[in-house]
Amino acid sequence: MTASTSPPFARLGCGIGLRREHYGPILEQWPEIDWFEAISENFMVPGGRPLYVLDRVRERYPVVLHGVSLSIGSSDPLDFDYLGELRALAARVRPAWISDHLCWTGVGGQNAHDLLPLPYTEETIDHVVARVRAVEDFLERPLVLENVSSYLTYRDSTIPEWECLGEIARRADCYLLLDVNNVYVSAFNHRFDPLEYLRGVPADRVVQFHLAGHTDNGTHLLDTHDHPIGDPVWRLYREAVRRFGPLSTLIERDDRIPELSEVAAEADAARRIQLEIDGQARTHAEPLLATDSRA
Amino acid sequence: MAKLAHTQSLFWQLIRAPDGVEAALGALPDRERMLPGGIDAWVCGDERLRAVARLEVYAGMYFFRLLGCLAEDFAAVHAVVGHQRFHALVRDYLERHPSTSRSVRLLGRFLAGFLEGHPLGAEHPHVADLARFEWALLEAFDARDAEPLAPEALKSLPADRWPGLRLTLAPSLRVMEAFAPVQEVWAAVTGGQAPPRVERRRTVIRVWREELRVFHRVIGDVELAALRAIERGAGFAAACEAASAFTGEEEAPLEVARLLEQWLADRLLVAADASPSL
Repeated sequence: MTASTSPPFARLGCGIGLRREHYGPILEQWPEIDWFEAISENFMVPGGRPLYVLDRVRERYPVVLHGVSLSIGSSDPLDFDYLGELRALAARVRPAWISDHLCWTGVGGQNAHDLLPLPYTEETIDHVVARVRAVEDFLERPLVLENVSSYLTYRDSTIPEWECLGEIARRADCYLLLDVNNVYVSAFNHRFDPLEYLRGVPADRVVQFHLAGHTDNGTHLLDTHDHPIGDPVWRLYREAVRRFGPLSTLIERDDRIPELSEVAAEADAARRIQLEIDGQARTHAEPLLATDSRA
Repeated sequence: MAKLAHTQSLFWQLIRAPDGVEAALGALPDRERMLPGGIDAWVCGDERLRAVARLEVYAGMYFFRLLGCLAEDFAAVHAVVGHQRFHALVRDYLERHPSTSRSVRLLGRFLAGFLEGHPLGAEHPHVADLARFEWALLEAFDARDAEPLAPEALKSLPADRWPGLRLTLAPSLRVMEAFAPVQEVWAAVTGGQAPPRVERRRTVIRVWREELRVFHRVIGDVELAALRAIERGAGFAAACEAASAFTGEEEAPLEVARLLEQWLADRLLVAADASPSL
């Protein structure tokens, strides 16, 4: 079974993240957006405007729930209160799927509200696989895990990140959300070849892409989601579409959020790339990041 | 999982340290056992970014993300005390109250109480109340939805059933007592003006949501007494009794009936029964 034909993972087109700054224009104009991704935790509230907006959006668009607090890699026990809330939200929203990140977000019952890096070891794989299975059993649906941007590597990491992702996906029978910007950011920060990353991720497990902008801090790239998508990330996206197909793609913008039309224009640009590449042979390759001195 | 648990515990300890990663490393108890070989044996660094600097990236992201969240949730407090002091306040607050919730939305739930014992609270005497008011607005914003009672719902109630009438208040309602009219400070700041100086004056404020909009209103002692009684599960008669301390016994039923009319108009009542039903 390949991801592209897997029934739960329809190709939704190119969508954008559902952000508070755009609630007004969305509800007033019902713009032509293929789909929306909602940050799960923003809607795990008792009531009021957030849930009202999400319900209205869901009436007209496909929605994916994207979490930031699952903390699948934490050494803390799984938080079944949180998972219960997520399950209730999913019952209300009927999302196309639920995703979160391959990372940890806190320990000792405390939360950093950040996507923290895991050591890529056999210990981590065993730990995460068991937890993904438990989460999938609880939610009664497959989980989709995203690669994060990272700024450090542990000395005892013995496995390349892409192999770790693939191994977890295979063993836990979960799927992958490939954040192309995160691959690019981490490739720069850790000096690996982003194309090797793409080649190393199992194609039959990737069901969605993320695209976003980052900030160049000189010594490192920071995954800030506050800029338009940069050219090198677009180039890497073309390679990702060649390798994995025209999968559901989501434009993320979380800070300095521009007009809805500007984010929608980036979704249109992604769609054009998909259409262009869909007509070409997937094996076609052009020099991409090989000429990019930063990576 | 022992190694993973150790890695995460150490990482978390270092990135949340208020004086930075370097200082936290220096102060690490039992350093030889916690970090044998030093940080470079634990985390890869290079000439572009040393190992400590890489951890500092995470420390910075952690702190500034949460600072940003609290500055947004407590915009008026932020404006009143100024950015530098707010920054210092958040540093102290996160040390005492690190987030224990999966949702960053709940991060500021202890800030008002924390301010009461913080030097900033002494310097700005009404800032704890202002924080409490802003928190009430946030709680009302996404409180549980409930169908409001129609304004005409009580009109047909026979007189003999009024004493036993039980009322339920909207889940979004918050009633707070402050030492100053902090809602005036909030209104000025959110309206883009400089925070006004306010005198010490006991002020009772109710905050609630009608459909998707959050409102607030200053209320008097009669209304406070009646609302508190209803919050405790008392019926109309008991609410009148509570109000009578301020109105006198004779005036109380009429006064509470007037309040009921106002509450219905404000969609503050979500269900009422007159034992057994209306």
